[in-house]
Amino acid sequence: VSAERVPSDPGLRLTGGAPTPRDEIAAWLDLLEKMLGSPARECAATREELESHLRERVRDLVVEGLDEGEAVRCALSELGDAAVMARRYRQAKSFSRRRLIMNFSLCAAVVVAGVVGVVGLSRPDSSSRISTFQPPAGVEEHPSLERKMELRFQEEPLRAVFAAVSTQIDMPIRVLWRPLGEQGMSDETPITLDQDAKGFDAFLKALDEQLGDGAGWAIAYRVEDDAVKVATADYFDRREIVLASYELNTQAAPVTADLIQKFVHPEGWQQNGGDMANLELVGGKLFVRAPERYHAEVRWFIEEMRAWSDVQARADELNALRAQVRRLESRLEGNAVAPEHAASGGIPAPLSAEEIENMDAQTAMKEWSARKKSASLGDVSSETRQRLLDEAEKCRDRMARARSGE
Amino acid sequence: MARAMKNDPMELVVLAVLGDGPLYGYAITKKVAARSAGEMKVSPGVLYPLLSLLEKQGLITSTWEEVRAERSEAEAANAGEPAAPRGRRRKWYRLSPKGKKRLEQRIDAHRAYQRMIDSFLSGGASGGAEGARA
Repeated sequence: VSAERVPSDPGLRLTGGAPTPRDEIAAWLDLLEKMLGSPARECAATREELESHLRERVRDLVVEGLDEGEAVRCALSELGDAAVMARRYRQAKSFSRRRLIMNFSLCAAVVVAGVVGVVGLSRPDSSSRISTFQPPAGVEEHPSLERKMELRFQEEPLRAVFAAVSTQIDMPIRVLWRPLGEQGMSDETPITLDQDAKGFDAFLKALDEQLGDGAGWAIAYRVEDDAVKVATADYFDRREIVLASYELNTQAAPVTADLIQKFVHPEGWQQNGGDMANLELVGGKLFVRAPERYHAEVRWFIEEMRAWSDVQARADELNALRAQVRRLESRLEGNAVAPEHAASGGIPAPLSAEEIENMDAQTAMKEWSARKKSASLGDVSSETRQRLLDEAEKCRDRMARARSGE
Repeated sequence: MARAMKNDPMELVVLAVLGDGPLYGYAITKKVAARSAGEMKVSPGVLYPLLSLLEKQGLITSTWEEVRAERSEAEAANAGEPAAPRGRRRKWYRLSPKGKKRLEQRIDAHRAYQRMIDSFLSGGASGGAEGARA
């Protein structure tokens, strides 16, 4: 590389004077800048950095005893061929572009996984909703029991209240006074109500609030033979005890007997000192002996745990996917190829005809070898392979000509 | 292990010297030579593209700083040496947090690789000694 080939200052030729050592630096930098093919600002920064390096190196060499001309030539020879260095810069740039594409692909994968996860987690049956147990309404639907009632009683005996309501719903009401007596109620219990009630359920609730503990289910009813049968919830519970088994996959849904006894009518289980229900988990089966209304809650509880378990499984899958992406990203980082080794670790960047022409025999051989090697790799597209083979051919031609002194 | 063998040792060297503190390109070449007692030389033709790559990877960051002349032009002239030009700037490089993490990973990988090779060498050496005794 000489000042005559690419003069940095055209005025040098006009004066006809021999280029100074500093012009040689400028010429080398001009040539590099031309071959970089980067945006002007980036080229200027590279030039400024290398110029600073060269000036300091030249200064040190002069201090060591070389004259300025020798120092400049020595410093430039350390930097090497401008074409080779330009190629290294381009490889560094193309590497980061490839990384950007790979990272973009990874990000896209993460976004897709995230969307899948979010969609999965936000499905209506997932735990993100608030789910509450809905007790069976009215045991048995009957249009008469839905009628609006006027409850206007002032210290009326309970017996008279039921009689009045029976008239309003147009259905006979059979009251089992013995079970109600165990709860402290009798046919003479005075009742004072002044409200409207939307249906028989609302009427019983109003009674319950006045006579019971207000927690519900103290007074209950069933429809039997077109008549309303009224008793306590306990009474009906004991009549309606059912033994049932539930198939459980405890790994998929971690349901335990303790959990059920804790959340489903805790007071009724024998294990908790109650006398209404019992349950035992045997292998993958849960045996429950309990009133039907307990079963309704047990079923709901198991479904909730299954839904939670499904959400957990989806979250685990999502986390596993995220971990896989992180591993892949980490592997990509670990495989970072330095520019001088890019030829062995990555696909060589394209070479222009001018760059090939500027190569010496050794560089041309190196580039030919790198392209032949990359072209033989299995994961190279046919288009890239053709480019590599074409460039290899040109490099071989350049190598032969450089050796013959051209 | 494969990473330690596959990765470029020059990256480790550059990250390691920048681990000691910020440096500019020419200072890196001098520091590498000094720390290896002249055994290792980083070619600037390799170093600057590598710095560009490391910066693009986010492993190092850079800032430009104007050079303050170490000596006045008069002092330099008296000593018969050129003075550092005024207004010239240097590009200083320093490790980013990501670069520090990468350096730690590279050091760990390198030491693990070294231990593995050492285990073969010590085995080979003892085998060789036994062979010699026999």
